[in-house]
Amino acid sequence: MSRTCLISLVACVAMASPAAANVGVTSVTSGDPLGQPPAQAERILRVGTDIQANELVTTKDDDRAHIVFLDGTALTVGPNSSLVIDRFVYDPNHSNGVLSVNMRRGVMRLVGGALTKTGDVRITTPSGSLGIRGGIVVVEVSDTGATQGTFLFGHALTVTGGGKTVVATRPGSLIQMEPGRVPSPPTILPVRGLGSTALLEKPHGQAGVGSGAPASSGANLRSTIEGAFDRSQFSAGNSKVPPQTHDQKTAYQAQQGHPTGHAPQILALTRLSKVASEPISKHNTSSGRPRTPSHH
Amino acid sequence: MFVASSFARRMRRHVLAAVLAIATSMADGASAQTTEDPVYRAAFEEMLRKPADPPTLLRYAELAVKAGNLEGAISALERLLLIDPDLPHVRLELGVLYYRLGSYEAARGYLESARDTGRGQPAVAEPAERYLAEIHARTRRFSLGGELLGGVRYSSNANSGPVGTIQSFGSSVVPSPNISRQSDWGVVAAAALQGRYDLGRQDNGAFEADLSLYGARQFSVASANVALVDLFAGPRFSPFEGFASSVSLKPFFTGRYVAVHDLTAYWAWGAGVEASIPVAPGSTVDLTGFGRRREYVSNADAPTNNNSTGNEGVVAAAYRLEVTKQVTVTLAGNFTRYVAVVPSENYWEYGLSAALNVRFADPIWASSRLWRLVLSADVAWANYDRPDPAVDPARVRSQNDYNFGLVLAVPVNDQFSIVAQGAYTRRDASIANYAYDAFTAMTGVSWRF
Repeated sequence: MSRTCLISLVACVAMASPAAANVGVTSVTSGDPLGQPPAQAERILRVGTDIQANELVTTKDDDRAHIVFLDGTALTVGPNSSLVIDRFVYDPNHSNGVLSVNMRRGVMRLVGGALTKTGDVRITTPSGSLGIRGGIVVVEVSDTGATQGTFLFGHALTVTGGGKTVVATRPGSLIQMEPGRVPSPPTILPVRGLGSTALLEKPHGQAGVGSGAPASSGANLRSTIEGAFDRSQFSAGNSKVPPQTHDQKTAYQAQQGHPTGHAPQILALTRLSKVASEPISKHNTSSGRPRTPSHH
Repeated sequence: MFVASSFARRMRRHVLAAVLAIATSMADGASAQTTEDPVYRAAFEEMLRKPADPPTLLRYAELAVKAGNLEGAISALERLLLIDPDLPHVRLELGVLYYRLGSYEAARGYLESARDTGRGQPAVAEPAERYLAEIHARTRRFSLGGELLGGVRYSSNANSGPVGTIQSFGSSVVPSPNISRQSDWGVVAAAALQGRYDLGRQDNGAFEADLSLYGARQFSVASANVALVDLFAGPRFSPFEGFASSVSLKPFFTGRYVAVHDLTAYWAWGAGVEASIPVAPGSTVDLTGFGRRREYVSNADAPTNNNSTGNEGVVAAAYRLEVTKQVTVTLAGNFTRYVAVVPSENYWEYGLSAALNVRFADPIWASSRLWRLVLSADVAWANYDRPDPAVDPARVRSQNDYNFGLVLAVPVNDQFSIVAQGAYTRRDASIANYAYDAFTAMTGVSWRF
C-alpha cells in the first residue's frame, strides 16, 4: 500500500483499530534497534519498516532509530532507550490529531510535524508528563525515572508532575523532574549545555543507513550525500544568507516574532537633529525679549 | 560635454539598476510556498516513500525551508547525520536552521562541530564563524550595541531663522542678523547605544537602555551649535498568558539634556510605559505613553527661557509592517499636551509620520551587502493656548511642521557604511517669528558595533 493511501486512511484506521494501524516508518537506523508491535513478534527495525500504534521500541548501547510519523513528526531514539508509541491519530485533511508516547528510559528528540501545530504531543515518563506544542524537544529519562526535558523550539513545553505544572517558552530551557516530585522551574541552558544530543548521532567514523539497507560503503554514502548536497540549492537559501545583526533584531523581538528590518539607527539619529533644532528656534525668539516680561 | 553625458548615462544606469533591485526585493516575498503547496506535498510523500534517500531528503528539506517549515528541514538533515555523522556541510545548515528558530544552544553545537571537523574548509568554517559570532552576541547576558555617525552637513537655514520681519510686543521689527536665516556648513556627530541585560526569564524579559548622543558644531553660526543627550531605560517583559502572551510591556524612565550655543537649554525627565503588540506575522503595533518634566534654563542667549518650563503628556502609536524581508513600512501618530508655567507656552500637538525602509542589492559593485534606503515624511500641527504678549499680544501661535527625509546607507563592510542624507523641513506659523524652512544635506560615515 502506498504511503499516499496510508496518509488518507490513517485517521480512520488508527481510530477503528489502533493496534493494527501503521502510524509511521523507520527512516534511518544505527545498530539493531528493536520494534515490537502489539500481538506480534519483536523484530529488528530496518529502513522502511512500518511502525504501528502501540509499538514498543527499544535500543541497546550502540542502537539508534529515526522514525517519521505520517504527519511529518520525527522521533530520534538514542541508545539504551525504551518507549511505546501509545497513540497516533492524524487527520491529514485538517492537519490535526494526537500523538502520545510512553517513555520508560533513554533519550529521544522529537521534532514536531503537522499535528503538533494544533495540539500537544504528550510524552509520559515515570516522573510525570510532558506536552510539546509545535516544536522540538529532547527528553532524557534515567534508570531511576528522573526526567529532563530540554525545550529547543516551539510554542511551549509543559511539564506536569507531583500535581504541579511548569511551562517553558524560551528556546534552550531545561526542566527537570523526579518521580513523586514537582518539576523544577525552567532554567536557561548554560553555554554548550546541550550535551545529550550527541547521543542521538551516530559516532564518528561510522556511516550507513542501518541494517537492512542496500550494501554500501561509508565512503560511497558520504560521497552520495555530499554530491546531492552540492547539487541542491539548500545552502543558497540558508547558510549563505548572512545572519541578521543583533541591532536589526533583538533576541527578544526574534522570540516574539517581531518584524525584522527596523529603521536603521541613522534614522533615530536624524530624529535627534529635529529635536535639537526646536530650542534653537526658541532661542531666536527668546533672545529678542527683555529680560523679564513685566518690564514691558 | 562628453564627460558630462557619459556621467549622466552612468547615473541613469545606476538609478535604473537601483530601481530594479528595489522592485526585485519587494517581489521576493510574493513567491513564498506553503506546506499546502502541491510541490511540497509531493516532496513530503516522496520523503515518506524513500525515508533514507539523501537526494530525496535534501529536496524535501529545501522545499520545507521555502515553505517556512524549518522543523521539517531539521528533521530531514538530522536524519542524514544518523547515516553519516561526518558531514560538516549538513552540520552547518542545521546550525543555521536552529539559529533561525532562535534556538541558539542547539545552533551553537552544530556550528562548532561543523567548524571543528576540519573537512569542507573554509566554505564551512567561515559561515559557521559568522553565525557563531552572532549567537555569541545574542546570548550574552549583557550586550551593548549601537551605531556611531560622523559627517559634514550643509543647511540652507542652520539657525532655523525666520524670513523677513518678526513680531516683538505686537510690532513688526527687523530681526538682528544673527536671528535671520543663515546658511552654514557644520560637522555632526551622533551615537545611538543600546544596552541590554537578560533577566533570564522565560518571556525573554530584559532590562533595556537606549542612550542617544547628538552634537553639531557650525562653521559660522555658533548660535546653532547643539548638544543633546537622550536616555530611555526600563525592563521589558511579557506579563500576559494565552493569546496575549506575545505582548510585551516596558515601563521606562526617560531623561534628556539639551544645550544650544554651549548653554544649557533644558533638562527633561519623566516616566512612561511602552506596549509592543504583534498583530500578525511581520507586523507590530507599539503604543507608548509617558509624562515628562522639562526644566528650561534661562541664559544669556535666551533670558526668558525658564518661562517654557512645564510638564508634557505624550501618547504615541506606531504600526510597523514587514512587507517583505527587505521592505518595512512604519506609520505612526502622536499626541502631546504641554502645560508650562507661563500659559502662553501651553500647547497641543498632533503628529503623523510614515517611513519606508528598503534594503536592496548593491546596484553598482554587486557586493553581497544590501544597501538601505529610507524615505520618511512627517507632519505635525501645534496650537498654543494663549498669545505671548512679548511677541504678539493679539495673535495666538499655531504652526504646521512638515519634514521630508531621505537616507541612503551604503555598506562598506560589516561595520562601516557611507551615509548620505537629504531633508527638507518647513514650518508654517501664524506668527512669522516661528516660520522657517531649511534644506539640509549630510554625508558621513557610520560605524555599527
